[in-house]
Amino acid sequence: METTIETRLKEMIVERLFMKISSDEIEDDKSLIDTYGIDSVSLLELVVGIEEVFEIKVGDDDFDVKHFETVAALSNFVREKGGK
Amino acid sequence: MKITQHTIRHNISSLYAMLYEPSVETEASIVFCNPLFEERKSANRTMTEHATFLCSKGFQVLTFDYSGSGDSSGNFEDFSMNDWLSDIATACSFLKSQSHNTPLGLFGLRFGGSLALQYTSELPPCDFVIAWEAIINGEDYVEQELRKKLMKEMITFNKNHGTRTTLLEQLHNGESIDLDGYALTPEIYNDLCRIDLTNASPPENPSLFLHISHTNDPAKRVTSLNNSWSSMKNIEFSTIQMQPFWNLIGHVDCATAIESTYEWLTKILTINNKQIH
Repeated sequence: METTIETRLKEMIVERLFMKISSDEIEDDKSLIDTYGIDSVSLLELVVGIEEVFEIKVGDDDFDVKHFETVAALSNFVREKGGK
Repeated sequence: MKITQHTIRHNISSLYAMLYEPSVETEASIVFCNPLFEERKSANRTMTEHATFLCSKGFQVLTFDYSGSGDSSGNFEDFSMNDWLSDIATACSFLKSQSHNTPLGLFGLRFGGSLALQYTSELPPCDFVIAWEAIINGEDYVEQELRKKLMKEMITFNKNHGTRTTLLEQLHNGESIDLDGYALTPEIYNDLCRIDLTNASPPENPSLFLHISHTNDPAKRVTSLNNSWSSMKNIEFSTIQMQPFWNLIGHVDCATAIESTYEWLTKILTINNKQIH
């Protein structure tokens, strides 16, 4: 079974940010900033991770909070960018 | 262990330094070289823990602030990389004057590690170099710092007000950019862009490059540097899975990196017939 972008994103978030919860515990529609305490530095770490894992380029124009609010938003963004 | 505060007079500035002296016979002396910008503040606790640990194991350690940063005198924007290299040389001379012909080494984190690895010919002769997650490419480092700035703007204003291109244009037009209260001047920007470990002459003394990563596998840039320096048997590359504490506000347990560094020191000093207590 193919792993969804959402699942890969959650795994990446937990691994890269050394979060002390399992990736299953991250909910698609919960705010990454307010619920999971992700700050600007962590978001940059995520951007670098997304570029590596999904082989996409995140431009400075893409730095809009709407893309980074939740896992669901991030997944849509990765899909729009043609992430693999 | 005795910890004393010093003000080292140097050119037009005064360097604020802390000297850690072990209660047992000193086996080696180490000058700590800091990172830059916000990384310096975030790393402060770990640098202190590392200095304290090494001192408890018989090492004499000097930590100091570069001219224009921390508690040293001067304004950050009035200094450049050459000044900070000169600061390291001054710190080495000071530590030499306090020690008894023990081996002298440099420990650097991020920017400090890059200075220690790339500019060995411009620094006093050292017996060893330890670099934690040294910046391999200065241009990439600046790009990430600018991205960090844009990301912070995004969090604050929901959207950033520029791009890296516009920020770089500002620098090329002779304007400074604010990075968390530090002025990134065109001169400092150009200095940082000169950092290029992959194309630099590798250090000839025993050196440890400790890569700190979110996985146990080295990043591509580190593998590339390792390949470039593969002929140098004096340089050891090691990867540790640990959070990038220099980017974080909270405390990160860095015991693994600290103990791993101590083990390497023990090894190289034992090879040099210097038994550590």
